[in-house]
Amino acid sequence: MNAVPSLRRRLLLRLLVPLLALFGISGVCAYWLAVHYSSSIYDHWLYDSVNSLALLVSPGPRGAQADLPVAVEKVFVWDETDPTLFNVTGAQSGVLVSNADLPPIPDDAEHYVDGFFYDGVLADGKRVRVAALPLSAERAGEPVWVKVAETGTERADLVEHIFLAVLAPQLLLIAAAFFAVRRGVIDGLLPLRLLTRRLRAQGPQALQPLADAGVPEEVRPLTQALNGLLGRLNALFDTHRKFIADTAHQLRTPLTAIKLNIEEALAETELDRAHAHLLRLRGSADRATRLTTQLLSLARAESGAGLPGRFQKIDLARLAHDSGAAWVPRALAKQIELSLHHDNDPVWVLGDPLLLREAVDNLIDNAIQYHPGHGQIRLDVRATPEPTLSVEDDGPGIAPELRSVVFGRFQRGDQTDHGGTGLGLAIVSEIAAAHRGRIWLEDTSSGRGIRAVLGLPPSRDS
Amino acid sequence: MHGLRRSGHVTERLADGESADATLRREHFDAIILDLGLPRVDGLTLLRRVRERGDNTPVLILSARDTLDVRIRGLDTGADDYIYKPFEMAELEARLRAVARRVIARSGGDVAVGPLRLKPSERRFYLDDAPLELSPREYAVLEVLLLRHGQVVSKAQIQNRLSDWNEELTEAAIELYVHRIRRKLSGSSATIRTVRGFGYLLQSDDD
Repeated sequence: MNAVPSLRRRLLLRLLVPLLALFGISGVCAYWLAVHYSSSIYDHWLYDSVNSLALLVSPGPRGAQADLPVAVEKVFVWDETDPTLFNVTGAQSGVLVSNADLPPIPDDAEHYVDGFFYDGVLADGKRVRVAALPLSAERAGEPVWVKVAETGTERADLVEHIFLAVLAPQLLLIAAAFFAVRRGVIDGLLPLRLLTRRLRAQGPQALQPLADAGVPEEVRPLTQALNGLLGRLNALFDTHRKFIADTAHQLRTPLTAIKLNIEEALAETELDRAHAHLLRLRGSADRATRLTTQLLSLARAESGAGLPGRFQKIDLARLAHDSGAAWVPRALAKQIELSLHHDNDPVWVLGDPLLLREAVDNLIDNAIQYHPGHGQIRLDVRATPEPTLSVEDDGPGIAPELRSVVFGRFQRGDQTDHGGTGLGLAIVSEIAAAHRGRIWLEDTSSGRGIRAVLGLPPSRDS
Repeated sequence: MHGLRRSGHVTERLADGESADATLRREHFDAIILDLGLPRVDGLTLLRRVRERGDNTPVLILSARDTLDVRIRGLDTGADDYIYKPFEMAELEARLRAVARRVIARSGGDVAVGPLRLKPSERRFYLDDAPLELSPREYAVLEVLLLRHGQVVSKAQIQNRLSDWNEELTEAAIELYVHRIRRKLSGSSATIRTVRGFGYLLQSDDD
């Protein structure tokens, strides 16, 4: 059987196995009851018969005598399929009346009121049930055994009838249950098939939520969960569509400038005058290059979300040192002094080293990029109250009302062109989220510039 | 490629690992810029072959920013430095110069930054062609700074370099040596800049 069997087969199996077991048990019970009732009825009748026969026995001149008129005998024997056999035998007189030789009473005969019951076999091999009643000498003139017997045919018939009467409806019931469940499951799953059809009919362009109409109550949680997912997917698609449109727009700006500068440079006849255009051309190419690099990091940061399997223990202070050291020459070229401040103890966090490095690089890059030059950028790494890495500059800063906006994609703190892509903080924000950390902007103690703080959860085993 | 030619380098472009390997067996180069994503024989394999032959040509690995593991394996396999794509031509040249300087110094050739010149054959520095009197430890510190010119050198890196002396050098001791070297360099255009929290950077005016 499959790991996930079909719903129909599972339901039928769950229903039929106990039903069949119940059927077996009830069969055994029915048989036992049938045997019990039929034997008690027939035994009772047999005992009545032996008592009736005993009434005909009376003391006579020589011991006991039995007077059995022909009419009485006919009534008595009457039954043809299961003829009644009888035998009255006196201790001295021998057989008084009889229509058969009945087997003698065994030691283990079953005691019943004044007489006995036992099973025996006739000379011709037929099995018989015998009721025997002893009569005392005072009663009959001599000790007499009155015996009446019948073959088991009628009893067996009765057992059979009771048995069938009990079991046949049960069999019918089981068969009916089987078909009802089959039908019910097929009918019950019909709404799911309709749902499937409705889902299949949807294109990826606009995902419509599934209406509740026609959906059974039991399936609603599923459709509601699906609708939630579809809603989130729609939102995601919208974001991506907007992002692609924005990206195209952002790329078009430097590309247009490149084209323009090439044309102007081509129009110049003197190399010296073309040079100025070439310089601007290089600037635009740099911007386009930078933008594509940032787009790639953003894609990496996004796909890095939900991959804690790649996380490892990282010393944030060491990371800040390695990242910052690489930026020192570029900062110095703008007359900016980059410095790092931290205690000597490692600050352990759990994270993806590449992504965190990317985040720190972007924070420092931003600080240098938007700095007018001649100033300070300081990195601080702290372990308490949570592991944080902050990048503080004394540049133009970001107005408080813009601080929540700059984490969006293609958002810059000001509209002046510093060659920034407007993606840096979006990248840092994605990476912080992937690490269940956060990034925020705050005022510096000097009141000039801005401080960007990256807060990360501490590594547990530190 | 064109950029390097313009700045006076002679370059040769080897498009796949197999032919690069063949060419490197025949000819000597001052430096190799190795892209790890080479066709046919990948960059790391090529690098391993070069080093196994005992070829010490400086190798600068060119790698995408997202391949930390490969980069570390590259350095372990015997690359001298790495640079990320995309890069500035100036940065590539600076790295190449630094790599070349280290190799030249290893093989006993002279290395100069501004007015400062290291003659490894004499184990001596010259400042504006006048010999500079340095203690062995001062010499070692200045050597590290000069060979990593253009990059920040951390105190830990200096400590590593000086660990040959079989004793732990405290950061305060390193600060003292740097202070003494600065005094000896004063008046020239070569300066040692302290980058707080990071280390030291050797600069000269013509950078």
